[in-house]
Parts: sequence; C-alpha cells; structure tokens
Amino acid sequence: MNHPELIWRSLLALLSISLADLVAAQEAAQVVRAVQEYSAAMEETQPDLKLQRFGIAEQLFRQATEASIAAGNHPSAQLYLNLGNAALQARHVGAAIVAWRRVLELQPGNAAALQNLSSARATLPESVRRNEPDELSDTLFFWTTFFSAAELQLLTAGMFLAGAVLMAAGILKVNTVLRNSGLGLLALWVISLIPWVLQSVGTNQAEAVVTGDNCVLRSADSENAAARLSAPLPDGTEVIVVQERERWLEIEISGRTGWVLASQLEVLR
Amino acid sequence: MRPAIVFTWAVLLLLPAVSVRAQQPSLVQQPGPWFVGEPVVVQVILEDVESAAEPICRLAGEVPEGIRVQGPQTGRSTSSFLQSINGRVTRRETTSYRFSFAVTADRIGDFSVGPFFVELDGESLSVGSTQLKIQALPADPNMEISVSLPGQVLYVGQQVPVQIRWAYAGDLQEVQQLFSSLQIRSPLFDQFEFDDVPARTRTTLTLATARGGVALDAEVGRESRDGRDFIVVQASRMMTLDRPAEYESIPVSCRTEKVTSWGRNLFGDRVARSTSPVLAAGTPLSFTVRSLPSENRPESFSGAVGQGFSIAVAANRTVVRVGDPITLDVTIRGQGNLQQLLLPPLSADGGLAESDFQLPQERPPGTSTDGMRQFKVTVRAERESVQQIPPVAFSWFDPQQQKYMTTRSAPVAMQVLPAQVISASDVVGGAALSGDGVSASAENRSRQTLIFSGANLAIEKDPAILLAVMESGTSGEALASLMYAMGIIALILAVVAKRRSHRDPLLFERERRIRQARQAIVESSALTGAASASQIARALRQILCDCDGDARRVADQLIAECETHIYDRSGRAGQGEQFPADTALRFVDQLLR
Repeated sequence: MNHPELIWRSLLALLSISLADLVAAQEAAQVVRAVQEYSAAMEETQPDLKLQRFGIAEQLFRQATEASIAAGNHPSAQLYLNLGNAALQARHVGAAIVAWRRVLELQPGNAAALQNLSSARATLPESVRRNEPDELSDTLFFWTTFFSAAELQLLTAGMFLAGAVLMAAGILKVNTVLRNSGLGLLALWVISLIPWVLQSVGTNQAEAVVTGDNCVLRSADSENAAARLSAPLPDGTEVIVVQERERWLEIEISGRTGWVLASQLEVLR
Repeated sequence: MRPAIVFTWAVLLLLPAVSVRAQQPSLVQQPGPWFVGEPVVVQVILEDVESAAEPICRLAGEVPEGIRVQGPQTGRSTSSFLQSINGRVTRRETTSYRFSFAVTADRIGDFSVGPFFVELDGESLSVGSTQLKIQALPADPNMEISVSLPGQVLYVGQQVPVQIRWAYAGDLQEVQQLFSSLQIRSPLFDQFEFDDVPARTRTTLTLATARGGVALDAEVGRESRDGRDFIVVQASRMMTLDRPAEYESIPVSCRTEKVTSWGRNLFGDRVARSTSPVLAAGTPLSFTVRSLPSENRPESFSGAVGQGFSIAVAANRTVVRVGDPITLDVTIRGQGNLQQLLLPPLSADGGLAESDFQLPQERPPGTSTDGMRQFKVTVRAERESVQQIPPVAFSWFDPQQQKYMTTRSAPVAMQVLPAQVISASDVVGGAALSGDGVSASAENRSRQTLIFSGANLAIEKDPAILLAVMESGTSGEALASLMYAMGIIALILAVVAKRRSHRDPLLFERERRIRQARQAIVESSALTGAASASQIARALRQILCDCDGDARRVADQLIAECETHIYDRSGRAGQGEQFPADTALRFVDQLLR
C-alpha cells in the first residue's frame, strides 16, 4: 500500500469514527430534549400547550427510535416505552399501542407496557377491543414471559446442545445416567418449543394497528366502495391482516373482513 | 417358645394394674467441681406424667446472697406404647418433664439452693434443696477476654456493635485446644436483644448464653505485646437497646480447659492427656442508655436511630382521576434499626397535604430486606390541581451527632384528571347502541376526549438506558443455529462411532482392502501398457483372499489376462496400449456390494 492510499484510508477511518460519534451525540441530545419536553408537559397546566409538548416529545422519541434502526440497531425497550407514553399523552392511541407492543416483543413481561396496553385497550369500544385470550398455554408457559424471543431462542438451542452432547456421551460410553440426562434435556427442549410452535401457529397472519382517525373499513379495495361499518375504525384498533394489494390491506376484525388504506395502519409483523 | 408367649401375655395383662399416677419429683445436679461465675445446672425431674397434665416448677426457698438463679427451662419427652388384650388394643402415653435451673455463684462458699415445688393437677409436690460448694477457678495469666462498646452513653433504639476479643499467648496447638472448649459468658448477652447474622465461615467465636451457644464469624490475628506473642480472635455482635437504664459492672469472663499433660496417640500425634479448667475475667462493662430527646423532635420521626438514612417514593400511576387509588412504594435505606421502623406520617414536615390527598388512617406494616425497609401505602388525590406527590419527609436520631436529622424523597409528577360523573342522560343514552356497536361507542369516546386512568405514564429519564442498544437478533440466530448444528453433529458422530464399534473387524478390514484395490485400479488408468496391467494384477492379488467360489475364479482369470498383457512384448503392451481396467473395476464393485 503506497503512502497516499494509506493516508486516504486513515482519513476515511477517522471520518467514519467521528461521524459515528456525532450521530450518537445527536441521538443523546434528542433523547434528553424529548425527556425535557415530556417533563415540561407533565407540569404544564394549559391543556393545549400540554398536548403540544407531549406531541413534540413523541416526535423526538420517534426520531430517536428511527435513528437507532437506521444505524442497524434495535432500539431499547425503555425507549419504545417512553415513545408509547408520550404518544398516549399526545392522544395518539394507535401509535402508543404499537410502541408498547414493540416493548413486549423485546421484553414480554414488561409490567408498565402490559399495564398501559391494557389501559389503552379499555378505552376502545367493546366491539373492536382486543382481549388477550387467557389460554391454558399462557398459564403453563408463564415462564416464557421472563425472556425475550432472542433469549428464548438461545435458551432452547443451548438445551438441545447440552442434551445432544450428554446423549452422545451416553451412547459412546454406554452410560445410562448420561444418556437419560441427555434424553431428559431433549424432552425439556421439546417442551420449551411448544409455546414457540403455538405462537407460530397462532400468528401466521400479520397484525396491524389503526393509527389514524379516518380509517374506513370498505367492502372492496377502492375509495368508492361502500363502508362496511357506520363509523371509521377508532384509533388504536388492533386487526389481523388477511392480504395486501397495492395501497390497500384486507383486514379482519371481530369476524368481519374489509379493506382499508395501508397508510392508516401500522403493520406489526 | 410356649413359656415365652405365656410370659408376654402375663406382662400385658398386668400392665393396666401399673399406677398411672405421677411419681415424686427428683433432683439432680451437674457433677462438680463448681466454680465462681460458672453456671451449675440443677434439674428437677418429674416422670410418668399423663400427657394431658401440665406441671409447673418453681424455686420456693430464698436465694442466698451471691447466687443468681435463671430458669427454669422446661424440657419434655413423651413415650407411648400399645397393649393388646383379647384383641382390644389400647394406647397409653406418658410424659417426663425436666426443669433446668442455671445457678451461678459470684463468690466462693457453700450454698444451699431449694427447695423446689412442682404443681401438678392442683397438687403441690416438693423436692428438697441441693448443696453447692463453689470454688475459685484459677485465672490464666496468658489468657485475655474483653467485651467493648463504642461509647459510654447510648440511646434507646440504637444498634450498637459489641466487640468481643479473646487472646492467648501460646503456641498454635495450645490455642487450638483451648479454643475448642472456650466458653465466653456475660449477663450482657442475656439481658439485651441481638441482631445475629448466622455464621458463614468456619472460623467462629462461640458465646455461651442462657439460650445456648451463639456462633459468630470471627477474625484471627497475631499481636505482640510486652514481649509476648498473642493469637487474637475477634468478633462483633449487633445489640439493640430497648429501654433506658444505667448499667454498672456487668461481668465478662471466659472459661476453657487447659492441657496439663500431653501424650501421643497411636499415630504419633500430640494429644491432650489431662486438662484442668482455667478462667479469665475481662473488665466489667458500665454504660448508660438514654431516652431519645423530646425537644426538637421532628413530626416525621418514627423511631429511626442510626446514620445515613434515605427515603425514596415511587407511584404505580402518574395519571389518575380525582379519587383514584395511587399505591406509593416507600423505601427507606440506612444504617440503623430498620427492623423496628414505622412509616413516618406522610403529611409530616410539609409532605402530602391532607387537603390535597386522602391519606390512610393506619400505618401500614413494612417489610425488611437487605439494608432497606419497604412500605406500600394507598393515597387518593382529592383535587385536580394536584401536580405532584410532594417530597415525603423522614427523620432519624443520629447518636454520633446527638441530634435529629431529616431527609426528603424526590417529588413525583402527577396528572390528576376530573372525576368521572355519570349522569342520568349517560345511563339512558348508553343503551342506544347501533347494530355494529362502533358508531355509538366512537361518539362516546370522542365525548370523553380519551381519558386514561390506570396507566403508568412515568418515563425513563436516563439517556444511557434509553440509548442502550439491544442485541441484534441476527447474531443470536446464528449462535442458536450453530448450537443446533453442533448438537446434531454430536449425535450423528456418536451413532456412527457406535455402529462402527459394533461391526465385525474382519469385514471392516476386508472392505478396506477392496477399496484400496479399487483405488489402485482407478489410478492404473493413468499408466500405460504393462505398467497398468501390472498394477491391476497386483491390486487383484491383494484381494484374492477376500474372494471365494465364483469370485475367486473371476479374479484368477482377470489376473491371468493381466499377466498375458504384461508378457505380450510383441503385441499390444509392447506398443504402449493401455490395459482395459473396466472389467476389473466392475468385479471390484460387485465385491463391495
């Protein structure tokens, strides 16, 4: 490598490091400002100003999450939780529900997210309200809420590896204890897969949340098609996505299907 | 056999005739010699008492001067037996009682302790007195004991570390022997409450108390003084002072068994052959426990005595309606009597104003964990104008500075919304829902302008936590995949290895030879003329022993063809023509199959 090339490469490396630092500093400043806006909004007595400040806080928290995603990272659960709280205070129920569901994807047992989600759902009309089914699997596999999806994945894989190694050692050494211990671990591995399988079976369809006030459920994928309901779907309504077609999504809610504009929903997965 | 059965039956028949009345109580005492400062155990024993009865024992006579009597501690043991007479099974249960008195003499002399009375079923049974000849125990000049307190003036509620120090000037083996039978005594250990932590190490200092031995984690060290080397064992014990009083000259002593002659056991190890008791007395303790001063006592004082307290308050909801319950978690940390702490009044010293909050009438019970005490208390906001849960004050008495100190929690921002009032029109209008149930509900919702009570809208404010990057899922997936792959490979390798180990080694060797021969035949295609034929013939000869019957004949024939080719100098081989290996290859493949 000749000298000019070496200098050029070093400069590039330095530039990339300082750029990364700059982005991090900007993110930190954004988050600090969002927290300040939220705190100021809490103390504000004028309703309009209060709402405005919560709106600014929501925007700033959202920008921080988007910047984190753009940098190839997963935003923290706490950042999503703050975003949800700010969105709710700014009267954006749908955005808040989306944020809290993101928190629960990262930390399934997060108490504040569960509490707030339940509180926000309670404000929706009963006909569109989503009630979490209290299934037997939820009772039996309560422990899965202690781990995130990634942690569960590693835990089950580790269990399989340990079981396989023990069983292999048992087969080679003709040792019943080792073999049975391995079999036990593999049985545990199979059990630990059950909630994952149930979840996969139950969520093969994408879910979405209404994030606007004028989300009309139509009978076909056209703005001229007749409305299926007498009022738009309320902000925060959680629906199942049946299919996608250009700008439209066919959704299912409380046993009814219809079409809505994709821009009025945020698809979760 | 028959006489034995007859005897057993006779015994069983006679059993009901045995009196079920209690026997006369008897008196036993710990064998002498007895020494000054050493408690002597005197027991009143009452046997064969029917289990329903509950006897009481007391010392009736006057206690001589210079004698202290503690107790009795009651021990009971129950026995039962079954008897079968003509098929009828009956069960009888009797109990024996042991009432133990600890008699300690402060001086030498002859003392008479007793008589003792036992009250059973309204009847008083007496047992005579016991004579004790108390001797002086020789003090060992090489042994030292001391118990010390941090100061002469202490306060009620204060937790005081009591330092116990035992030292001996001698060699290690002697110290080990002395330490094994060491008993440290002081009335201090029986008069006060101690917050003892169970010993976690094997090096412990054991105190002899009225409730039994108390082992404390100890530190062992060396000390040189007056030209003598001491081995020092020190421990600490936390004492809680519960009442004001003046204490003077509380004795401190320790007793152990000192070896008077050494011998050697079968393995040549040095062992104690005979011992004699020795004593060491420490400086008696004198101190004063004062009441906490009543002047300048803050309203938020709830009995805490110590140093470095702090209070934190967290609310489970920060957006509420007027009248909604808010659960406050109050956590108090510090060094002091946390176990006895009560929740300070929340309204005290500028705390939660009673005009703004509905406060609980009763103080909630708290829970203590490692170095902190927690309370859960429910309050309700009474006004919409409430903006925060104000700082809650907590006061304690600092014995070092001899004054009250106050700290406050951080305020918690609140948003209090108006209470929801349901009018008659709401009740009537509520029934008129349309068919899809969405339109009417949406209308109600817009009227309510989205009020969320019950949500916890507190946010995390630390940028470091907010900007913490979650681990990428991709690396986790890759690691999980690697783990699965490794597991499967381990299982496959184990199964393959197991199968190979089960195969006939002769067959395995035969297959190896045939595969080698096949490889040689394949490689012969690179050679020309006689060389290729020669290599094929050599390979076939190597596997001749693995062929039988028809295969053998075919192999012989192929080898013959090869040899013909090799020696055919004038023919094809001479012209460098390659020997066709296809037939040989097919033959070998058939063998492999």
